[in-house]
Amino acid sequence: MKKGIQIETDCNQCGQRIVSCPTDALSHNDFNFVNKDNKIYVINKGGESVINNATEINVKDILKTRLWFYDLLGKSFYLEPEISRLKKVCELKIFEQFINNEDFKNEGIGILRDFFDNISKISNEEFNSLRKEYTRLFIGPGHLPAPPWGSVYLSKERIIFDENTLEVRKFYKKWGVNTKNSNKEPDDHIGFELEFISILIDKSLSELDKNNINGFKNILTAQIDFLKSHILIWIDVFSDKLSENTEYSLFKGLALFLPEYLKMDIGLLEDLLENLENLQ
Amino acid sequence: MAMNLKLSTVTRRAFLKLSALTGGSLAISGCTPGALDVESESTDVNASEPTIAVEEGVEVIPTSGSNNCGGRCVIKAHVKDDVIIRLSTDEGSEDEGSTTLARACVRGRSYRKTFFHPDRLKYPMKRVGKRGEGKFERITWEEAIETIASETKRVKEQYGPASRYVHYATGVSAAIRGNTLANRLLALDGGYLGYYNTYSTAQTSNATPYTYGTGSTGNTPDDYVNSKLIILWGHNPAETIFGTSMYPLRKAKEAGVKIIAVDPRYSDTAIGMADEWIPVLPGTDNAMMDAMAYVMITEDLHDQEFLDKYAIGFDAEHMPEGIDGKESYKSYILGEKDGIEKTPEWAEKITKVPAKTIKKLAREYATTKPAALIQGWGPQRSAYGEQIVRGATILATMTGNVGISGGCASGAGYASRISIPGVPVPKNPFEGSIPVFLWTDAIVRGSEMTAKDGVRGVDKLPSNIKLIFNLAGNALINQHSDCNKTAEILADESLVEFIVVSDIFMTPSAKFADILLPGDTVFERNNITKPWGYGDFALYANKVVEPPFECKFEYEWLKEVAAKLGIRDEFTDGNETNEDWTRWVVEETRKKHFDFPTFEEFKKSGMHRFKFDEPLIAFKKQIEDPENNPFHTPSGKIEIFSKRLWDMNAPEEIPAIPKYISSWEGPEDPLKEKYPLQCIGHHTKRRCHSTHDNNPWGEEVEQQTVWMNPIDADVRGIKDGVLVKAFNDRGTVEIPAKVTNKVMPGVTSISQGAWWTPNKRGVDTRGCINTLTTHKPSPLAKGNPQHTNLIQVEKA
Repeated sequence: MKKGIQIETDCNQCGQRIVSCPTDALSHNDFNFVNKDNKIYVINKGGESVINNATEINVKDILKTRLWFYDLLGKSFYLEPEISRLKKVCELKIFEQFINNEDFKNEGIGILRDFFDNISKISNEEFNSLRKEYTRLFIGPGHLPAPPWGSVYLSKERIIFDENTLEVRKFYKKWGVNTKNSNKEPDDHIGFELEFISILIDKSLSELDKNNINGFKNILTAQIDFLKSHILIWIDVFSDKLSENTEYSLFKGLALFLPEYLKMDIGLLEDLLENLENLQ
Repeated sequence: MAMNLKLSTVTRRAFLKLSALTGGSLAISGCTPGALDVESESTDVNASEPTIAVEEGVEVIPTSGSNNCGGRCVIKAHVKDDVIIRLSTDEGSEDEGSTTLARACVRGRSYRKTFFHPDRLKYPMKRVGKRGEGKFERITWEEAIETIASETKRVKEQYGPASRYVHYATGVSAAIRGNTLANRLLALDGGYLGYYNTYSTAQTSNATPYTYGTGSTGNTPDDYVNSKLIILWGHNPAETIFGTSMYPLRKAKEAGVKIIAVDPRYSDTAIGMADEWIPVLPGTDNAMMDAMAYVMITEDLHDQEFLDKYAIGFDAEHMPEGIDGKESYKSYILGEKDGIEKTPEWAEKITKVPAKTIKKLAREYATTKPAALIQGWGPQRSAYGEQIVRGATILATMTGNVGISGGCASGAGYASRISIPGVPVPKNPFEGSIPVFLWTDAIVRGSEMTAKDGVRGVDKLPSNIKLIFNLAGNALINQHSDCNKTAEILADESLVEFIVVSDIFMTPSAKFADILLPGDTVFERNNITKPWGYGDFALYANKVVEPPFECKFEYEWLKEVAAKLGIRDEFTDGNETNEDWTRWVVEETRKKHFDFPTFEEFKKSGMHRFKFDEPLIAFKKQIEDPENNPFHTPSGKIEIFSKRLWDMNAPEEIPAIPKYISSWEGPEDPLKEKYPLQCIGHHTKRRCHSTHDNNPWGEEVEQQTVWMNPIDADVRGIKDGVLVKAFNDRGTVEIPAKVTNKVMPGVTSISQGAWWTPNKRGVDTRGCINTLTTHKPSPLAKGNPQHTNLIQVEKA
């Protein structure tokens, strides 16, 4: 277990009390992955179809979807809202499709769906006030209610630039990644961390293209490792602070959705990894 | 770390379905650049641990604090991969020369906590709401610099250079500082309205020279050990950090010197050092001093020979030409003119110090030789602070304690023997200046201000203040008086038309910026610092890391403003960087201090201790050889009676001899009916003025409270720790009460420097003392009377 994290929780399937590391707690709902015609597919463990009229999903589609989410989430936290970017999300109706799903439980998805649904109707004034809210939340100049840097939650002194920042920087460097504004902006900004995952997803896609299952596996492992040791350990506190301190649906929705999405994603990665042995 | 992880409400099933439906068609917005660079495509993904070399070394870089603390300390930054991972401080041992160790206190040790706070100002901003409302929008540095340059130009053309003002600011108290640099810029650009005085020492700086011809009246602290008796009158170095004088004070105590503290508050200095604490009502010090003089005169304990030889104005026989003998100090004390003998019994009623205590102190001071009556600067920051300063200088003279080892001339007490220059400011083409405390007056009625308002250098001001640079300072609101009134003046955009603020946090002052700039901290620039006059060392404050985000030291953008004004070369004078200037400072220092290290040595070691064979004794020459060394007064003598003050012809408030003046908002003011408690503002160890107030750990060191005596608390039904409102006509603060015998009955105290935080009702919920203080200046110095306040306290 990384950094001695121990989670006590009830399994969402069987109701049993589980004491384990975070992602173990979430691994009670398994999918199987199969290799068919040199493409990796996922099927439901019980054999029933994952979606109504298909039993198979291309893993690349899963990775691309993940990539899209990490890109959206990362940029939402480190870039000021930009109308054209938001409109693109709106056109894809992603959250719409999420919410139609019978498994949907997350309040954030509904808030985000409503937000993106209405983006084409947003007035200049409303959009300006959204930009101001971004500035208030993540730029200043006043007190930041939910600082977006990991070390603020993890360091003894609750500061920016700390050992935690260096640990994150080290992780990036191992994968040949640097922050563009090195030493100006702390590496452990939530937006940067999410972008880093998207870079790893991109790398994993290339390995898949090369049919390099070993490399693919290493990159999946790195994603799990990074998510667990650098993001999951503070994301709940950050998200709670954020949702408590904003009434703007974009940020409230992101705050409610982000931690849940990440926890789901770890489970997905672990399922995928477990099944890789069978695929070679 | 135990953390509860909430179970995910987003299921993999839902996500997988989504992926099946949309995955193939999703493309990320590649046209929007990310924050990360993928530097290497050649990472070996097949290795279980891809390895790219990572620097692991830790370097230790010496630097130092540059807030306006009287002391200075060594801060050693332990740096790994350009991140400060921890701090340490001076690890030397005792007996390293004439000065104490430069060890950091709680504030220094929490520099990472304060200066890497997530609320740091990060980007240039422009105001978008009403001024003072605190609404800002991010802009580029180019826009900020362009706006500052064009407004500086516009205001000069429209109102003249004297309408431009660089405000008092001590957030960077070092050789290179934003406010002097801004003065340098404006001096080269046609001029600015200057100021004199400080918020610390206005009354004493002005009053002391009327006695001695100079404010440099202190023996250096290494002389404390030579005293037989030390009276700390309103002097509290343990909390004010008065240079590094606590160490020599401890040495004196260890040597058996008796120490008496006179203070309305049982200060940490009194607790830790004093053999006796004498509480006196604020602002009544002169009544006590007068009564001490009375005891000495009537019991013939004063040094008549010393007075005859070195002073004028003590008695009728030694008056300046043409002045009636009845105007002498002795005559005043004995009540020969006003019919009031200044007896200890008379003083007891005013001061609440028992007559027998006054008698005992007078006898002890007059008969113990040598004895040092050392004044702090607190008592003089009052309505008639000039009298307190002069009163003590007269007692020192009456007891012959001037110019001798173990004595003390009292007064301002400056005693610097170290000279380290700052960045020079060329002669200001506009020669007028105002007392700094009257800058708000100069906003409202500057063009009416003349010599009677303390205007110097010109007959009257040509203009009101229209533009303000406030760089690394919180005296734009917080540390000036009467926050509510000041805020009202600043909020009126027809008065001051443009305000530039540079700071590291959204301070109460920063809220009033039109252009708000993110400054840097001690870790992010090269500089040189030293303690106030009472510590014999200098520190090289090395730059340790780059300023984060878009933070900049003021010099960086002032250079660009200078460029737009067409004076960049004159402004920099070949010094492109801070380090060019620190090099210049070292070279200049070496011209006076021959053993000062070279730039390279100093930068590397971070510290230079000056060595002196013996203490500096003020007025030693004047006392040992008066024929050849007259005092720098008009008479050449110690002036107990000042002809210069006499000629001002305002004897009620500016008497020629020091007197007790019953003060407005003092204990004898009829306003006491409405506001029965006096309120003063002590220094706290948790802050340096207003710096560090936003460090939450400080609240654990000392909570922001209003101190009050149990006698005053009981009649109001106030228990220790309950929320109270302290108020007068100027404002209200709402903070917990600290019910304690450490403050005398009738007196309350609120530590100065808390950040003024008005709520919707205008009530300051943080407890800034200046919510309660007044704009009314002292009569002679036009100084800030921060400790002269009457208030009421009630349960909130």
